[in-house]
Amino acid sequence: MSRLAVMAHYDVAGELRPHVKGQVEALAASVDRLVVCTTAQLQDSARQWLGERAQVVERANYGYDFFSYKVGLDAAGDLSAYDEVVVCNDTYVFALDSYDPVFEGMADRPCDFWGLTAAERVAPHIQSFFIAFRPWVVTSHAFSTFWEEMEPISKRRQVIRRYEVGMSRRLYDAGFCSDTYFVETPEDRRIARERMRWWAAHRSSFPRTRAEIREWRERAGEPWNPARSLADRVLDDARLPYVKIDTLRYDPYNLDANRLLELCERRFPQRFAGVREFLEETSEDYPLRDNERLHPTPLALEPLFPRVRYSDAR
Amino acid sequence: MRADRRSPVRLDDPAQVLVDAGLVDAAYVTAQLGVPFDSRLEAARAVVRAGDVSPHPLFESQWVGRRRSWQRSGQHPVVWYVSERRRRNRLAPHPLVDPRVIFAAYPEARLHDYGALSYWLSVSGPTTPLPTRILPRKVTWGTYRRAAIEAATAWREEVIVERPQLLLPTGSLPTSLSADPTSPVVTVVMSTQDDGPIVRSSIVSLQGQTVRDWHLVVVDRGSSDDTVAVLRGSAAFDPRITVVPEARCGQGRALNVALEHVTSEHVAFLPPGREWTPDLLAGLLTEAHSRGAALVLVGSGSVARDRGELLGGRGVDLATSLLRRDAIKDAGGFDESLGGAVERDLVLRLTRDHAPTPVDVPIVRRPEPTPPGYGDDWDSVVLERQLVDWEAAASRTLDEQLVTYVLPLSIEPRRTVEWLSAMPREGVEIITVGIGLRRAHHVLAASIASVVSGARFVSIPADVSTPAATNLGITLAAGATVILVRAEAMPPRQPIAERLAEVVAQPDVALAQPLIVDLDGVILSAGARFSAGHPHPELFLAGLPTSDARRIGPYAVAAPAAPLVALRTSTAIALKGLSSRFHSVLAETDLGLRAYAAGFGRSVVIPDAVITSRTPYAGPEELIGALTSLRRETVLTPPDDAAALLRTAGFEVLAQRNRRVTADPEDPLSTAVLVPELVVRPVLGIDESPPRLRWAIDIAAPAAARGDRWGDTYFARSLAEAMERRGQHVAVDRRDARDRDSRDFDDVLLVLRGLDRVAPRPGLLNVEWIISHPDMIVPEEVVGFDAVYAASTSWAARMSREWGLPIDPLLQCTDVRWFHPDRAEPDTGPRLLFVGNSRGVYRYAVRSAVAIGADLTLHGNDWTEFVDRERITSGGVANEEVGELYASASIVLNDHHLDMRRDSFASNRLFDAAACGARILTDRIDGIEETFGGLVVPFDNEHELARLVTPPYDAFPDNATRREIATRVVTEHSFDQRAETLVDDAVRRLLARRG
Repeated sequence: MSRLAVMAHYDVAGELRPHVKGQVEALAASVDRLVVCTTAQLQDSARQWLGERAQVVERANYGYDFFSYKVGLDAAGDLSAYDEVVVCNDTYVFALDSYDPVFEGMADRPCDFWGLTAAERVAPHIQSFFIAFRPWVVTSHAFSTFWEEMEPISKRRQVIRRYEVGMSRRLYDAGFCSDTYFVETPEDRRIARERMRWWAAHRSSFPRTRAEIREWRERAGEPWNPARSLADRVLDDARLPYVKIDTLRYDPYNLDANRLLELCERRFPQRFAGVREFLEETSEDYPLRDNERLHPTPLALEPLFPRVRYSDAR
Repeated sequence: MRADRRSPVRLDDPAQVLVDAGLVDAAYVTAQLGVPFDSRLEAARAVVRAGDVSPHPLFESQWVGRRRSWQRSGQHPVVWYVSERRRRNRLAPHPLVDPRVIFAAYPEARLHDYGALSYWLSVSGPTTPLPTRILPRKVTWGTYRRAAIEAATAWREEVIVERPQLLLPTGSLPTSLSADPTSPVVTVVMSTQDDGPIVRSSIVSLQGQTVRDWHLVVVDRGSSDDTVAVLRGSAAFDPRITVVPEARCGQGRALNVALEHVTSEHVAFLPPGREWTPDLLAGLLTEAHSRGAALVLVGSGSVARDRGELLGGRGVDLATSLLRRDAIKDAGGFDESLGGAVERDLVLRLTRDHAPTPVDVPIVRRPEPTPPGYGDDWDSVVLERQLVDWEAAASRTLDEQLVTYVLPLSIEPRRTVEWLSAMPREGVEIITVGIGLRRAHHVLAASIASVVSGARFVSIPADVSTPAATNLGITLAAGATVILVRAEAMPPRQPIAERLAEVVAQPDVALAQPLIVDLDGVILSAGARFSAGHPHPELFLAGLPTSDARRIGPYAVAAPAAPLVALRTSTAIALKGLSSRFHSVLAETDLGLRAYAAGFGRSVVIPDAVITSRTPYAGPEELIGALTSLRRETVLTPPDDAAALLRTAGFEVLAQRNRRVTADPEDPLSTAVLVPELVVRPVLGIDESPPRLRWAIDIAAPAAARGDRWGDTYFARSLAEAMERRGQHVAVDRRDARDRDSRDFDDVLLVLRGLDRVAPRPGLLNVEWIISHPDMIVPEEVVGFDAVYAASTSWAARMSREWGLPIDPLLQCTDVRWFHPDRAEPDTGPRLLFVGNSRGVYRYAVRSAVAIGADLTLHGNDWTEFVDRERITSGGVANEEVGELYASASIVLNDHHLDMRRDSFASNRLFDAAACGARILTDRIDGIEETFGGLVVPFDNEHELARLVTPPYDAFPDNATRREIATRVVTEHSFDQRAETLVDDAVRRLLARRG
């Protein structure tokens, strides 16, 4: 089975961080052709290292990862020559040495495109940091028109809506179906919901009016993002085989991401080597977004923290 | 409130009321319900229980109407009818029961406890003629009763039939189903086209079947979306799925391709988007094997369970059926020439040899049927194949002297009765075709048709298109000429069948159509014309007055576009009638084009035959759908003579434009088509020699038959003809056509002032001729006109003086073609004659004549409420024949409206009678002596009248002198004289306006 992967890369310093190198090596080991499209001003050493393992496409920094996917796919040429086409980026730490277990796990799953995880915020979609397309999708009208019509967008939120959610929607509308490598268990869903409630309690001050209570309930009932709510499932034999950098950087649900990183470093020392340093070095470049800022934990809820914090799920 | 003179009756028991009123006929109720009754009361109770059942052959609640009234009051319609006190006596409970006829014969019927019908039944026997005027000959009550009972029985046999029983499941699936272990147990066939979003759910439901040994063959008909990709995705993970991509093709072709891949004994059909319950295939296979059936179908719901139900229009659902492969093969597979309804067609053919086995197996709820649009009606095409036998029709002998009208009935019973009662009796037959009619309409149409000579009723239970129903009628026609009528066409006011038959008998003519006008009297269609390179037709002359078409005379067009066309029956049979794909409109156009292409000749429009259509030619959606159907055919159009024809009518073609017809003008994305439209302008005629102007004569008479008998209509027609003889182009617009846009093509608007005040039209020369109702005229009205005439010398002079506005005298006149002294010998006709309608008043002249007991001959309408029926000689006389009566009468009576008498507006009748040299007695107005010499003598009271009507008529000149005066009247007061005055004045004023 021939497989193509297009990986989008960016680094403020033009470097290849250890976890990115690990990602490149894991991909290169499992696909027939790897195209890395970078918007970083690569240092020579990084360019050289990358060039030895992948086809490197350098471009100016605009349009986020989706535009890199497009440029990379264009550079790859005839996509119909592959049995599977993967697009992914460098925003996560891949916990395994190779993607082989992932590809093997998905080989017999009857679906047209798949990802590591799916989310339902805005609309159900495959999370775009890793998506694989079967060959009949790659040659479909929906797929090709999606990329043909793409134009660079400078607003992150718009990119998510139009391209991340929009890609899945386009394919679903055409009649295609998707699947995910990570399959949530009932226990996963229970803890994820509990963590959403925990997050909701931190999104605003303690509810005092009926309207605030209603708002709190609505927020607590929103669909979760498994990359955040279930990030510690990486510790369950890499059932969830990645941890998003954003989860570690911002701890967006206030679940003690630092503890998660510590656990990961212990469990996957090689894969998570250098991640802590990367987060520290780039912290000023990635300040917390205003819309993700959380309130302190209400005193009354502090006893609940041990129940929801990231932990070793084994 | 007027006191009720009836004796009180109890209405609390509807059944008893029915019996007491005599409005229950047990045999008739039995015919409808299929149950015998021992007594009338028992039958009445059954009627009350059943709801929509008529209790008596002469009482039909659907005909009475006012359904909301009795539903609101919760009453049985009969009870409502008999309890309606004052109004009841005016309501006709049946088309063949006219209360006016009953009251005329039996005035005491007005006081009957249960109304006119009840009274009439109480005094009538089987040999009594029905109380109606609409039938051409007397039909006795006994004859009609038999016909009604037969019609009701036939309706019941056709419509109220027991559905075939569903067979219960027989057991479980045999362990070994397939003789050939290499073949699957069943092949499931699917045809897709642009079904990407819905196809997967169907496949998933197939994959969930308890029967696992299946093979799915999906043939994609050239989808432009990702259907094939989605199918390939499914096939990649399931080897039981075979995808066969084909080029864009029809459903029939795709299914046949799929059938070529079938190796199993049985075939199931799974349309994209449909889903099955997990046990469906197992259930169908079990029944097919245990019963050895060629066609097993799930019969629950509204789908057909046998061939009879299929022909009755019930649907086919192949998605819940299992067919044996060899049976499909024997039937010839799917018909690839059909653009739709291929499943219904296959099953109809299959059931000729194999009775379906309807079983009761649980299924997923069937989708709601798609509401019928206006595109191709393939269901009607396939049903027509089963219902219509063209070969048998071709072998029948036709009567050359007979013209057959074929009329598919609308849902409105009144239209049916209107047509059945309007048919001329000799040389014409009418075949009415009911399409899925409701009981009341069905029974009325069948029973009335059976008592009208030359009328027949046939019924199609299925809801087929109008052309399909028409085709059934064509194959039953006995006449050598058929006239195909759609329900929106009103019956012709003048006989047209013979004229149309003459035209289509010509060797180079295939079809003929009359001029089609709308309810306002403006042309809707004078044939369909095609521009070069344009696939859509234009309704020729639409919007113009009928006079423009008449000026052209009979002419050839590309094709007819009319709700009424005539053609030779043999031509219709050879062309297999109208195309059933059309829902209604443009089917005749398609027929005309096919006739031309097949060499049968061209289509001809006969402008002097006029038919009124109740509706516009087509609604936007209807037209768009029909144009799509028309486009599918290769349109070979005859050469277009429109420009030359329009020149004859006085127009020149400037350009052609496209008019956008859209289903929703508010929505720019809604479906739309462009239809061609010629841009024309009138040829300027004022500089010709003699000058020729376009005139619109505006009269107050209403359009259609209602206005035909108005005096204004006769007057305007005679004036128009006189003007045409002077080379003018004249249209007579009745009240309803006043706002036609094509008036802007005219030069002069001539308002014959009647009851309506008419606004002058900017840009035209506006002329008003006040011939009646002078008291309605105000100076504000007169000032808007360029020229004003009045039919009274004294009034014109007085008003000119008082208002300071020029009003010229222009007296009324006579049509010397019909009114002159040579029409008859004096004193050979009626002794005292009055010709005129009552206008709802007991007119002075008639009242006086009746009072003195004179021997009055009275012709006219609406007199029955004032004088005995015996005194009324006729309901009216054709204008062309009145002159003979005047010339032969000893004395002609006349009178005027009060205001016309006061202001000395001499009536048109005075001129007509004077032109015939008649002795005329009239009420007193000024100026009689100057205009009519001694022909007209006024009378002031009944004593004078009695003296004057007594021979030897000394008050009048002798015959020779009267003839001399008549000759002078003819010379000075003809329409030609008036036309000359009007034309000369108009030309002068228009030239002056031009400077």
